[in-house]
Amino acid sequence: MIELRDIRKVFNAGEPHALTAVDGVSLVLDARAVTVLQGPSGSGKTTLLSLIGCMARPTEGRILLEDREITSLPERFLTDVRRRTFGFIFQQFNLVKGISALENVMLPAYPLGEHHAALKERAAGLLDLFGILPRETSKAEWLSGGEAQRTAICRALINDPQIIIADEPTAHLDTKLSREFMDIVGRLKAEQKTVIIASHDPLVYGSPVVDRVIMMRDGKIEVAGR
Amino acid sequence: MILHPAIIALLVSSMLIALLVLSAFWYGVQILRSWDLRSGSSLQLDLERRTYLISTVLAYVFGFQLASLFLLIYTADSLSTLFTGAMCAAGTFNVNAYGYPLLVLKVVNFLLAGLWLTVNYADNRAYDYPLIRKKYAFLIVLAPFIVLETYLQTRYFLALQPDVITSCCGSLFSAGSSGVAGDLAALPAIPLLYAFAGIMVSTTALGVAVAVTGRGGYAFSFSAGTAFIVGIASLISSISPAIYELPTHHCPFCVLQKEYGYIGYLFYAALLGGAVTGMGVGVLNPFRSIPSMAVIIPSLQKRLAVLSVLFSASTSLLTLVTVFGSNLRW
Repeated sequence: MIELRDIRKVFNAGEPHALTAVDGVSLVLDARAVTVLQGPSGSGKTTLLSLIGCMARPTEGRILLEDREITSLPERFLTDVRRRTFGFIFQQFNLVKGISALENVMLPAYPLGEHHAALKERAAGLLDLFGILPRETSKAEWLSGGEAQRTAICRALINDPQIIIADEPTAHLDTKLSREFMDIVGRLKAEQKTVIIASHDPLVYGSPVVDRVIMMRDGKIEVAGR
Repeated sequence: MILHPAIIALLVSSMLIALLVLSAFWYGVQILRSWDLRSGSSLQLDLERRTYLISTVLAYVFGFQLASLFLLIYTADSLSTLFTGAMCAAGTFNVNAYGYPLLVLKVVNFLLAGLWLTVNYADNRAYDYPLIRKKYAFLIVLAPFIVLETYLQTRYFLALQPDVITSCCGSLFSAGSSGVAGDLAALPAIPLLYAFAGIMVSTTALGVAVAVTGRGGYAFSFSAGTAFIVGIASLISSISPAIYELPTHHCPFCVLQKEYGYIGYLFYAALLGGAVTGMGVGVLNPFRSIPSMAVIIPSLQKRLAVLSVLFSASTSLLTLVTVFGSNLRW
């Protein structure tokens, strides 16, 4: 369970061009469920995702992860929480060019110091699970949109995180690939993962695998869903 | 004032240290007044963000503070040729009224800064800032000493005039002279050496006990602090004459010179290192019961105890080599 208490995020606080991206959000997100943050551009979805995923700190408010308060954690502890608890899928996938799909998948696990052979085997297993093992040696820039997306999902899963965070994952995908992505989300949910997606794609928030849709506008919760 | 690169470096660095410590002092006051980890207010979150930066900056600042003691002594020693009568740093510090108070304060600040670094290190290991109020309260106590040191150092260097006739170490640290230096030189050499040996043995034994069992932190800490004082007294009363092979020469500064292989730096580094790490064990002892420190502090205390024992062993070895290798017979 993830609990957000009066979360506020202001960029350039105290300056004339200060921008309140998230404004007094309080939420409880269920574990092992798929939650979608829906809203137009600039509604604060991505900022809220980055706060939940410990990639940014709020200006005000607290976030609790399974009853453990995480916003006050010093950076070295936050890094560990981020690394072990969350898997990230970005809008642009952010694969590292010049290295293979397999190496991209292995990257987030390097700081944990796992034995290289075991890690490689696990990464190959994930690529196999998502049907792209034949492309393991292909460089990131040679992958098609669907392959890049699945590689990014494998990378998000390499540390076996409890929570998957996806920011506009279908923004650059056609309808077929978007549906494929939601099928994968359904598989993750079946594996008891918590999935939080920011999206304004109807294929995402209208998908039957989604348990809850939270609507945001101007940094605030408009409809908190079920 | 004498325009010497080391003097300029010491002045500029001490002013920077004072400035940074004063800004951290103000932050420490805010911490003591407003810190509340249960609150999610913007002030609390801002304090949490800034404490990481402030403690990192202070770690470097106090790191230089420790090194600057040796730079001051080295500078004083190298300037001794400019003053009529001075043979080593003892004469240079005696050139005006600020020299010896500055030196004493510098040593006190070395110990305090070392202990603050120990507390800061322990606090940074835990996830919930368990010592944050204590370490900033400590900083608030320490800050005036740092500022006073900057003041004394500035006055000392500004008042340095090369035409001043000063006393040499032979007259300052002679058994017949008045004052603390004379009193230390007049202490009985052999009994003091036995006392030094005794305190080193007890510090080592207690340190080993802390390292093995994790118990006896306060006793070890007290012993390490006492060993530092007895060590300085022994260096002046007994060890220095053995090094110089001259029973009447008690100067604690000539040992820093090339003629004696700079052995004094080793002595002082080992004594100060042993004192800081040993007393650090005692400073951390009251916080062992804090849940988030329950594993961190005992482990850190053990490492500090091992370090302190190594420093004590180095001091003892240096003493044995110099005393038994000396041709001086009391």
